Amino acid sequence: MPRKRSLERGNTLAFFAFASPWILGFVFLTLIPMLASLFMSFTEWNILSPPIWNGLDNYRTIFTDKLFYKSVQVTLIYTLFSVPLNIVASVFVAMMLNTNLRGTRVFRTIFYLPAIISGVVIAILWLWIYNPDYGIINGFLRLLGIEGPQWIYGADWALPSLIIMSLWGIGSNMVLYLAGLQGISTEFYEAASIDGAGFWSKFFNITLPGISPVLLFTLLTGIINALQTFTQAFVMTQGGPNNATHFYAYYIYNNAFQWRKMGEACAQAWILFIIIFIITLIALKITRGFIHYDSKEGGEIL
Amino acid sequence: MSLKKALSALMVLALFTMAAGCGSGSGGTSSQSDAAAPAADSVESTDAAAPAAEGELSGEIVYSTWGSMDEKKVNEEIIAAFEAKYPGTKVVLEYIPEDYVAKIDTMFLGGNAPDVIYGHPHYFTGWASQGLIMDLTDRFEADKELFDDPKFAQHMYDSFKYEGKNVATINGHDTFLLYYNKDLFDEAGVSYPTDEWTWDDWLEAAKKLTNNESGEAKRYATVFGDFAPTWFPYIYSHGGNIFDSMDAPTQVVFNSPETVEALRFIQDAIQTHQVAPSYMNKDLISGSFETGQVAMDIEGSWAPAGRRHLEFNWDMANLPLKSGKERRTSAYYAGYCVNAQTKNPDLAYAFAKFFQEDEGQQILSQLGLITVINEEIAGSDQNLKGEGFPEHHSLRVSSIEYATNGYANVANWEEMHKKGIKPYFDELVAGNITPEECAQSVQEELEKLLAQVK
Repeated sequence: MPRKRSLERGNTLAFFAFASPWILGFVFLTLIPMLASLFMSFTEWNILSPPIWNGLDNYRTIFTDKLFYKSVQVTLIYTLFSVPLNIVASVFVAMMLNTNLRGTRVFRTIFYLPAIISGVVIAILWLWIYNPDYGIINGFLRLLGIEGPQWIYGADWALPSLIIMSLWGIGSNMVLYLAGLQGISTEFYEAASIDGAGFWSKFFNITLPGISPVLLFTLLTGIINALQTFTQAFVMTQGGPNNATHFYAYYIYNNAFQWRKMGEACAQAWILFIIIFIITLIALKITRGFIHYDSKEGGEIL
Repeated sequence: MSLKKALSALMVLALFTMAAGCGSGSGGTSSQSDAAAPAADSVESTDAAAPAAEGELSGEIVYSTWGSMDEKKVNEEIIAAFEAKYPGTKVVLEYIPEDYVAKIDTMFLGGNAPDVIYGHPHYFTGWASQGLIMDLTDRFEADKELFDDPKFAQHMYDSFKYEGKNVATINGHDTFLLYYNKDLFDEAGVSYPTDEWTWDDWLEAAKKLTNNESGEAKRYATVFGDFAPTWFPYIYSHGGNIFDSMDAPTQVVFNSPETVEALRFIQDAIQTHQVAPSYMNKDLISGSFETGQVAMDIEGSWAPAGRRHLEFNWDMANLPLKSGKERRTSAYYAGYCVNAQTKNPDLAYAFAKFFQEDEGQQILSQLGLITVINEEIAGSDQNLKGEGFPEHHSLRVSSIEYATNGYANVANWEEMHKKGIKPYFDELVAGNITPEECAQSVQEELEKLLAQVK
């Protein structure tokens, strides 16, 4: 008995030793700054002089700010459309590329390529694609005799343009789905074929359950990423025209680093955190019965 | 949901948040502490500097600026000239090409901001309002013979004051002028702009210069910028104003018949006459004149330096006049302030002053980007008559006489023009609101924002 206990203790020590880089990183780079920002959110802080406690003033300002609601609206609409669109498109592409035809490897590489390009480069590239006068899209439409919209330069089209643009990044999700698809044993499909199952029936009963954990993962990271969208607003539209692409994270950045309202920015960041928290909980709750795991050694997620 | 469940949900969320690549909520503060840490050593080096002996300069200071690589080189030249003039001194260049103000703010927070800081007057207002930069009034008094010299465009000093005190030495200005493509004017049979041109003349010319037929290459007479202050030349020249004074604003006066008229002029140019694109395309703007896609634009006087190599003929002119109104335009200014916490105030001030001395001004004027405050140097043949410069290049010097600060000296100016002005300009261009509604809304927004800093 004593021997086993010392072994256990040794294991525990080893666990903490190996986990320490992450724990230290989490505590010093995430937890402490987060707590500090919670404190800052109750202060007025212009960065240049010490913060002044002002209680709930920042939150009061935020909840009476028209632009706050506008940016929440913009961000939620973007998330609502871009995340499902991305998942459907990348599952579709992954399934296409999961066939054993000639050249699929080349296509896999091609579809993944955009994912390795940095967000700013992509944003600048799309600035040109969306250029109403000289861009490739309107140039093509003009060949067909159609005068295309003003894309990111028109208040009506700006947000849809960015949603369309988000499809550019399906490559990274596609790889995950591809791995998921290849993890499904072919025996299932063979058995289903013998039983006379058609394509859709196989898709809904084998394929989707088979990749459902991956779907959940991409859904959650997709939602969180979309709610934190920043680069497009920062590089391409500066939140315009007429705040049509005034993403929430862009508002936080402006308050914090451009307008010297760090207190308000911290409060906004915490509100975003709570929004993300709630939406994630809802997503986990809704998907609960649909996620299929081969084993559940770690217990339920929620 | 039990506490345990809530905790595990939190853990999952924390993981996903990290997987998503960004710790939400901590964005602001973490980079704050990151930025403060490495900068700490640079304090040591300035600490080591010996205090300046009477009348003799020595030691080391840090100087910050932004700009292109060419501008960086000019700054390095100035530093070399300064160090040669004062042997035993050292100036370390802190080159900050991006996010300049945010980085300087962070350095102030960490107590190690540069000793001499390049910037626009409204930056200085922000720092001066927190007591972070030095009041230079007494030193200006002591150096009267330099600063009072009539060779300087002296009324510019007012733009570099905070509550009546001098807070910076001056580099120069960029006035906004009319640039036009002579070849396109010839082609359209339009006579060149003159000093007596009115906005009506401008519009008549613009209509002829626009080629709106749907086809491959659309040509517009002009293009309006998506940066709100680039509209101020139009507003000023129509007799409108943003504040009672851009140098020391106390009151918003945006909503005036003159401003409304300027806004209507722009809206009509886009919506009714269609002589300019109805969107504000950054890329179209920055390259449209250069590629011959627009015939005219209103640009700062940094433009000739880049345009002197163009293949077509072009020239510059005063802004058109509004009948019954005086001649006006807008200008951006830049100068050098001194950190109030500098360990070596004498050296820092001497360096800030050096930019306004003949030697410094001479080097600054080389690139032709900024028009230096010293009008003898700015107006010299060497600076105006270089190859590729247009016939009326000297307007960049003379136009300062009737220019108004294009940025307002208030601590929250960045917020004002992005949040309080730009969205309404967008609405105006799109034709969703009338010029009256635009002026009214901007007036209200600016009043709200001005009250926050008063």
